Amino acid sequence: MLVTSRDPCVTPVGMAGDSELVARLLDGDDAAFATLVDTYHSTMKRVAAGYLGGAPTAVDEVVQETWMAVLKSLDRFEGRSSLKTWIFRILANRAITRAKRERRSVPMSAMGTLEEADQPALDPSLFDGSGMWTTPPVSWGTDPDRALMDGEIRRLVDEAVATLPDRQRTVITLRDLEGWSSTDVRNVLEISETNQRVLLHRARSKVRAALESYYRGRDD
Amino acid sequence: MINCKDFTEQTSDFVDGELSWADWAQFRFHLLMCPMCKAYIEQMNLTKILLSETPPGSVEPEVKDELMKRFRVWKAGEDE
Repeated sequence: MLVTSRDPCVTPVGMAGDSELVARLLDGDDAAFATLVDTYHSTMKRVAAGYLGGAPTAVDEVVQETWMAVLKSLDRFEGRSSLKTWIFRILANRAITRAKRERRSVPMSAMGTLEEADQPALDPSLFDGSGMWTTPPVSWGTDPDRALMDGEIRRLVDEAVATLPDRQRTVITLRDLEGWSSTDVRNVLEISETNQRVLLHRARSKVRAALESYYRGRDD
Repeated sequence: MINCKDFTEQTSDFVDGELSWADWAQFRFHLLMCPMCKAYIEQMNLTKILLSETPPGSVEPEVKDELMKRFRVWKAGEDE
Protein backbone atom coordinates (compact mmCIF):
# COMPACT_ATOMS: atom_id res chain seq x y z
CA MET A 1 0.00 0.00 0.00
CA LEU A 2 1.25 3.43 -0.90
CA VAL A 3 1.55 5.99 1.84
CA THR A 4 0.39 9.14 0.11
CA SER A 5 0.70 12.71 1.24
CA ARG A 6 -2.34 14.92 1.23
CA ASP A 7 -0.22 18.04 1.29
CA PRO A 8 -0.42 20.01 -1.97
CA CYS A 9 2.91 21.71 -1.19
CA VAL A 10 4.67 18.35 -1.47
CA THR A 11 4.42 18.35 -5.23
CA PRO A 12 7.06 18.81 -7.89
CA VAL A 13 5.74 22.38 -8.14
CA GLY A 14 7.13 23.15 -4.67
CA MET A 15 8.16 26.72 -4.04
CA ALA A 16 7.18 27.84 -7.54
CA GLY A 17 3.63 26.75 -6.65
CA ASP A 18 3.88 28.88 -3.50
CA SER A 19 4.70 32.11 -5.30
CA GLU A 20 1.86 31.54 -7.74
CA LEU A 21 -0.52 30.89 -4.83
CA VAL A 22 0.66 34.02 -3.01
CA ALA A 23 0.16 36.09 -6.16
CA ARG A 24 -3.39 34.79 -6.50
CA LEU A 25 -4.11 35.54 -2.83
CA LEU A 26 -2.77 39.08 -3.14
CA ASP A 27 -5.00 39.38 -6.17
CA GLY A 28 -8.01 38.58 -3.98
CA ASP A 29 -8.67 35.19 -5.56
CA ASP A 30 -11.39 33.55 -3.42
CA ALA A 31 -10.67 30.05 -4.71
CA ALA A 32 -6.99 30.32 -3.74
CA PHE A 33 -7.86 31.28 -0.16
CA ALA A 34 -10.55 28.59 0.04
CA THR A 35 -7.98 25.97 -1.03
CA LEU A 36 -5.55 27.16 1.60
CA VAL A 37 -8.21 27.04 4.32
CA ASP A 38 -9.40 23.59 3.24
CA THR A 39 -5.83 22.30 3.20
CA TYR A 40 -4.52 23.65 6.49
CA HIS A 41 -7.30 24.76 8.81
CA SER A 42 -7.92 21.44 10.56
CA THR A 43 -4.18 20.73 10.85
CA MET A 44 -3.67 24.21 12.31
CA LYS A 45 -6.28 23.44 14.95
CA ARG A 46 -4.46 20.24 15.88
CA VAL A 47 -1.11 21.99 16.11
CA ALA A 48 -2.58 24.81 18.21
CA ALA A 49 -4.17 22.21 20.49
CA GLY A 50 -0.69 20.78 21.06
CA TYR A 51 0.31 24.06 22.72
CA LEU A 52 -2.96 24.94 24.36
CA GLY A 53 -3.84 21.57 25.82
CA GLY A 54 -6.94 21.34 23.69
CA ALA A 55 -8.79 24.36 25.18
CA PRO A 56 -11.33 24.67 22.33
CA THR A 57 -12.04 28.42 22.47
CA ALA A 58 -8.37 29.39 22.67
CA VAL A 59 -7.54 27.00 19.82
CA ASP A 60 -10.24 28.43 17.53
CA GLU A 61 -9.24 31.99 18.35
CA VAL A 62 -5.53 31.40 17.76
CA VAL A 63 -6.20 29.73 14.40
CA GLN A 64 -8.52 32.53 13.24
CA GLU A 65 -6.03 35.19 14.38
CA THR A 66 -3.34 33.33 12.46
CA TRP A 67 -5.33 33.50 9.21
CA MET A 68 -5.74 37.24 9.67
CA ALA A 69 -2.03 37.64 10.45
CA VAL A 70 -1.17 35.59 7.35
CA LEU A 71 -3.24 37.88 5.14
CA LYS A 72 -1.87 41.01 6.77
CA SER A 73 1.77 40.04 6.23
CA LEU A 74 1.33 38.12 2.97
CA ASP A 75 2.95 40.87 0.89
CA ARG A 76 6.08 40.38 3.02
CA PHE A 77 6.29 36.62 2.33
CA GLU A 78 9.71 36.18 0.71
CA GLY A 79 9.65 32.50 -0.08
CA ARG A 80 12.66 31.74 2.11
CA SER A 81 10.62 28.91 3.59
CA SER A 82 7.61 27.18 2.08
CA LEU A 83 4.29 28.97 2.51
CA LYS A 84 3.19 26.07 4.68
CA THR A 85 6.11 26.41 7.10
CA TRP A 86 5.65 30.18 7.15
CA ILE A 87 1.95 29.89 8.05
CA PHE A 88 2.58 27.28 10.74
CA ARG A 89 5.42 29.33 12.29
CA ILE A 90 3.01 32.26 12.65
CA LEU A 91 0.54 29.84 14.23
CA ALA A 92 3.11 28.34 16.62
CA ASN A 93 4.30 31.77 17.78
CA ARG A 94 0.75 32.90 18.47
CA ALA A 95 -0.10 29.66 20.26
CA ILE A 96 3.03 29.95 22.45
CA THR A 97 2.14 33.54 23.36
CA ARG A 98 -1.40 32.52 24.19
CA ALA A 99 -0.27 29.49 26.22
CA LYS A 100 2.12 31.66 28.23
CA ARG A 101 -0.63 34.17 28.90
CA GLU A 102 -2.98 31.47 30.08
CA ARG A 103 -0.19 29.41 31.70
CA ARG A 104 -1.88 26.41 30.19
CA SER A 105 1.08 24.43 29.06
CA VAL A 106 4.78 24.60 28.46
CA PRO A 107 5.45 25.66 24.89
CA MET A 108 6.94 22.97 22.71
CA SER A 109 10.06 25.05 22.03
CA ALA A 110 10.68 25.45 25.75
CA MET A 111 11.25 21.73 25.94
CA GLY A 112 14.87 21.93 27.13
CA THR A 113 14.97 18.51 28.66
CA LEU A 114 12.64 16.05 27.13
CA GLU A 115 10.70 14.80 30.11
CA GLU A 116 8.85 12.30 27.97
CA ALA A 117 12.15 10.65 27.13
CA ASP A 118 12.34 9.40 30.68
CA GLN A 119 9.58 6.90 30.15
CA PRO A 120 10.36 4.00 27.84
CA ALA A 121 8.21 3.56 24.74
CA LEU A 122 7.30 0.07 25.90
CA ASP A 123 6.44 -1.28 29.33
CA PRO A 124 9.78 -2.67 30.66
CA SER A 125 7.96 -5.64 32.23
CA LEU A 126 7.42 -7.01 28.71
CA PHE A 127 11.10 -8.05 28.75
CA ASP A 128 13.28 -10.16 31.04
CA GLY A 129 16.71 -9.18 32.35
CA SER A 130 18.42 -10.17 29.09
CA GLY A 131 16.03 -8.02 27.02
CA MET A 132 14.05 -10.99 25.67
CA TRP A 133 10.24 -10.91 25.42
CA THR A 134 8.39 -12.27 28.45
CA THR A 135 5.04 -11.41 26.85
CA PRO A 136 5.67 -11.81 23.11
CA PRO A 137 3.50 -9.84 20.70
CA VAL A 138 0.63 -11.86 19.26
CA SER A 139 0.12 -12.00 15.53
CA TRP A 140 -2.74 -9.71 14.52
CA GLY A 141 -3.42 -12.08 11.66
CA THR A 142 -4.82 -9.35 9.51
CA ASP A 143 -3.92 -7.60 6.32
CA PRO A 144 -3.84 -3.79 6.20
CA ASP A 145 -6.80 -3.51 3.87
CA ARG A 146 -9.04 -5.46 6.16
CA ALA A 147 -7.90 -3.48 9.21
CA LEU A 148 -8.58 -0.24 7.32
CA MET A 149 -12.14 -1.32 6.62
CA ASP A 150 -12.74 -2.14 10.28
CA GLY A 151 -14.55 0.79 11.88
CA GLU A 152 -13.68 -0.34 15.38
CA ILE A 153 -9.96 -0.36 14.60
CA ARG A 154 -10.26 3.09 13.02
CA ARG A 155 -11.95 4.41 16.17
CA LEU A 156 -9.31 2.77 18.33
CA VAL A 157 -6.49 4.47 16.39
CA ASP A 158 -8.23 7.88 16.65
CA GLU A 159 -8.75 7.40 20.36
CA ALA A 160 -5.15 6.28 20.96
CA VAL A 161 -3.84 9.38 19.15
CA ALA A 162 -6.25 11.68 21.01
CA THR A 163 -5.08 10.46 24.41
CA LEU A 164 -1.33 10.90 23.73
CA PRO A 165 0.59 13.62 25.61
CA ASP A 166 0.38 16.95 23.73
CA ARG A 167 3.85 16.90 22.16
CA GLN A 168 3.66 13.28 21.06
CA ARG A 169 0.20 13.87 19.59
CA THR A 170 1.40 16.89 17.62
CA VAL A 171 4.42 15.11 16.18
CA ILE A 172 2.57 11.91 15.18
CA THR A 173 -0.26 13.97 13.68
CA LEU A 174 2.08 15.95 11.45
CA ARG A 175 4.37 13.08 10.50
CA ASP A 176 2.05 10.10 10.13
CA LEU A 177 -1.45 11.51 9.67
CA GLU A 178 -0.50 14.53 7.57
CA GLY A 179 2.58 13.04 5.94
CA TRP A 180 4.92 15.99 6.73
CA SER A 181 8.68 15.62 6.36
CA SER A 182 10.77 15.56 9.51
CA THR A 183 12.42 18.83 8.36
CA ASP A 184 9.07 20.64 8.20
CA VAL A 185 8.05 19.29 11.61
CA ARG A 186 11.36 20.36 13.17
CA ASN A 187 11.15 23.82 11.67
CA VAL A 188 7.58 24.44 12.72
CA LEU A 189 7.85 23.01 16.24
CA GLU A 190 11.45 24.17 16.75
CA ILE A 191 12.57 20.85 18.21
CA SER A 192 15.72 18.86 17.48
CA GLU A 193 15.76 15.85 15.18
CA THR A 194 16.47 13.61 18.19
CA ASN A 195 13.52 14.96 20.17
CA GLN A 196 11.30 14.55 17.18
CA ARG A 197 12.31 10.95 16.64
CA VAL A 198 11.85 10.10 20.32
CA LEU A 199 8.40 11.72 20.41
CA LEU A 200 7.35 9.97 17.19
CA HIS A 201 8.62 6.59 18.36
CA ARG A 202 6.85 6.87 21.71
CA ALA A 203 3.64 7.97 20.06
CA ARG A 204 3.64 5.13 17.53
CA SER A 205 4.57 2.59 20.21
CA LYS A 206 1.56 3.66 22.27
CA VAL A 207 -0.82 3.45 19.33
CA ARG A 208 0.57 -0.02 18.56
CA ALA A 209 0.09 -1.04 22.20
CA ALA A 210 -3.56 0.09 22.07
CA LEU A 211 -4.11 -2.04 18.95
CA GLU A 212 -2.25 -4.95 20.51
CA SER A 213 -4.53 -5.03 23.56
CA TYR A 214 -7.54 -4.91 21.26
CA TYR A 215 -6.33 -7.90 19.20
CA ARG A 216 -5.31 -9.77 22.34
CA GLY A 217 -8.74 -9.25 23.88
CA ARG A 218 -10.43 -10.39 20.70
CA ASP A 219 -8.53 -13.69 20.70
CA ASP A 220 -9.62 -14.56 24.24
CA MET B 1 24.02 -8.53 18.78
CA ILE B 2 20.90 -6.63 19.75
CA ASN B 3 18.22 -8.12 21.97
CA CYS B 4 14.42 -7.87 21.58
CA LYS B 5 14.20 -4.78 23.77
CA ASP B 6 16.86 -2.97 21.69
CA PHE B 7 15.04 -4.11 18.56
CA THR B 8 11.75 -2.52 19.60
CA GLU B 9 13.52 0.78 20.31
CA GLN B 10 14.70 0.94 16.69
CA THR B 11 11.45 -0.02 14.98
CA SER B 12 10.33 3.53 14.14
CA ASP B 13 13.68 4.39 12.61
CA PHE B 14 13.55 1.12 10.66
CA VAL B 15 10.08 1.67 9.20
CA ASP B 16 11.12 5.22 8.25
CA GLY B 17 14.38 4.01 6.67
CA GLU B 18 16.41 6.10 9.12
CA LEU B 19 18.77 3.46 10.51
CA SER B 20 22.49 3.64 9.75
CA TRP B 21 23.82 0.79 7.64
CA ALA B 22 25.43 -0.93 10.66
CA ASP B 23 22.26 -0.66 12.77
CA TRP B 24 20.15 -1.78 9.84
CA ALA B 25 22.29 -4.90 9.35
CA GLN B 26 22.01 -5.85 13.05
CA PHE B 27 18.29 -5.15 12.96
CA ARG B 28 17.76 -7.34 9.87
CA PHE B 29 19.82 -10.12 11.42
CA HIS B 30 17.73 -10.10 14.60
CA LEU B 31 14.55 -10.03 12.50
CA LEU B 32 15.67 -13.16 10.68
CA MET B 33 16.22 -15.06 13.93
CA CYS B 34 13.27 -13.88 16.03
CA PRO B 35 9.66 -14.62 15.07
CA MET B 36 8.41 -12.56 18.05
CA CYS B 37 10.14 -9.45 16.80
CA LYS B 38 8.94 -10.25 13.28
CA ALA B 39 5.37 -10.07 14.64
CA TYR B 40 6.29 -6.81 16.35
CA ILE B 41 7.66 -5.09 13.24
CA GLU B 42 4.59 -6.17 11.27
CA GLN B 43 2.46 -4.50 13.93
CA MET B 44 4.50 -1.29 13.74
CA ASN B 45 4.15 -1.30 9.96
CA LEU B 46 0.40 -1.78 10.16
CA THR B 47 0.18 0.93 12.82
CA LYS B 48 1.96 3.40 10.53
CA ILE B 49 -0.31 2.49 7.61
CA LEU B 50 -3.45 2.87 9.73
CA LEU B 51 -2.25 6.28 10.94
CA SER B 52 -1.47 7.45 7.41
CA GLU B 53 -4.93 6.42 6.23
CA THR B 54 -6.76 8.48 8.84
CA PRO B 55 -9.16 10.70 6.89
CA PRO B 56 -8.16 14.38 6.87
CA GLY B 57 -10.05 16.78 9.10
CA SER B 58 -12.40 19.31 7.56
CA VAL B 59 -13.36 22.91 8.24
CA GLU B 60 -16.80 23.57 9.68
CA PRO B 61 -18.84 25.33 6.96
CA GLU B 62 -19.73 28.29 9.20
CA VAL B 63 -16.06 28.78 10.13
CA LYS B 64 -15.07 28.68 6.48
CA ASP B 65 -17.84 31.16 5.54
CA GLU B 66 -16.58 33.54 8.23
CA LEU B 67 -12.97 33.24 7.01
CA MET B 68 -14.04 33.83 3.39
CA LYS B 69 -15.96 36.90 4.52
CA ARG B 70 -12.87 38.22 6.29
CA PHE B 71 -10.76 37.49 3.22
CA ARG B 72 -13.05 39.70 1.11
CA VAL B 73 -12.98 42.45 3.74
CA TRP B 74 -9.16 42.21 3.81
CA LYS B 75 -9.03 42.43 0.03
CA ALA B 76 -11.37 45.45 -0.02
CA GLY B 77 -9.10 47.16 2.54
CA GLU B 78 -6.00 46.39 0.46
CA ASP B 79 -7.57 47.95 -2.62
CA GLU B 80 -8.33 51.27 -0.95
